[in-house]
Amino acid sequence: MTFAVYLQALKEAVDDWAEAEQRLRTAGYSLDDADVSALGRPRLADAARAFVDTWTGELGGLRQQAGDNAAALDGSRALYGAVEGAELDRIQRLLAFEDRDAAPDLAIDPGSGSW
Amino acid sequence: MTIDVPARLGELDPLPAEAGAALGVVTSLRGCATSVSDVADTMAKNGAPADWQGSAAEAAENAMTGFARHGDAIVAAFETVLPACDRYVDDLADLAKAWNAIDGDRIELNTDRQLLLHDIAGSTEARTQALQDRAAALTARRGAIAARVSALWADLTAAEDRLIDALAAYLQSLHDPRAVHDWWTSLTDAEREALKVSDPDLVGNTNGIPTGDRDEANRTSLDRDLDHLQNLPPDELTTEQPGSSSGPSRPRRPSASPVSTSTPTPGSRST
Repeated sequence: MTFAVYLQALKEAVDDWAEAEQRLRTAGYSLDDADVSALGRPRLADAARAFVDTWTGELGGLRQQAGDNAAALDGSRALYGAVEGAELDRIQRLLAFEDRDAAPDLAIDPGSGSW
Repeated sequence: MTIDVPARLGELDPLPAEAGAALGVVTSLRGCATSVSDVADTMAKNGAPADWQGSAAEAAENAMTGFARHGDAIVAAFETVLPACDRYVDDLADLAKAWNAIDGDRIELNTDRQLLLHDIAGSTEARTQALQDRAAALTARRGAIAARVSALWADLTAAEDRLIDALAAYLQSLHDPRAVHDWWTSLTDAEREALKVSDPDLVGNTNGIPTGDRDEANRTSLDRDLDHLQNLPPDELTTEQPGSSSGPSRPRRPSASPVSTSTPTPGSRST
């Protein structure tokens, strides 16, 4: 089995999810800023608070999901990085001594095999 | 002869909200909706990262589109409520203008009343009828002002009711299994069957859908998982799918029906 992972693409995916998490955090701050008591009498303020609480919860779930995805992908990236390092060591040990300082190809062709 | 001078009109109760402060709340809600919309749009456009292939690409695609759908549902809730919020802010501005006009008339009435009392104190019997006419006119003005005050508060209550209805509409569709049940029973048999086949997870996990239908949907879901796993080549059977953004592997099921699915909100029908 050949490991074929384009680490830069993985890094970009991590960044996308992390950015989504951050932007949703900002959206949450907007909701936190909404002082629903300014809308008027308690019956209206209570309905508005229920609305804000509901979507704060939903937003929190979405943000958590984005953060979890970023963390999971980042973990995978680290693991693949370690695997690649070990693989390179193994390959280098098989090479002739004078070839061992050849620059490693960090970005392995993603189309070269399956995981 | 007696002259009936109307009582002084006391200060009006202040309005419970100002348009400017309410606008601040609406701005916060709009800011949130815009941020979520941007994120959902970005994720919907992104799809799987470039150069990803196979099950990892599918998992990434699923995670992003599912995430974007969830974001869109949140944005939809805000888009429903924001126009009602804008209208409420406009209503508050109109009510504030009306309140100021009424208060101006109230102050003028009280001033005219003071003048009348002053004139009565220095009057002679011969002017009694004229003074009585002025008092009657003041009484009529007072009644008109009181009626406008009542109308003002009724208008405020109506404006609040409109916004409460808009705020509650999405909460109800989100939480009320009865609303989901009504939506489900409004579908034709063919539409229900198609949904059970095309999106068994949604049907199986939604409170409000009858348990028989949920059970059927869950069995469909399990059968598909088993079929998928049994048809996988041995070297693709793993306990985990590396690179999957959603944790342990779960085979993606192909859509078996042209039926499009949507979050089961009352009044919406899948076609």
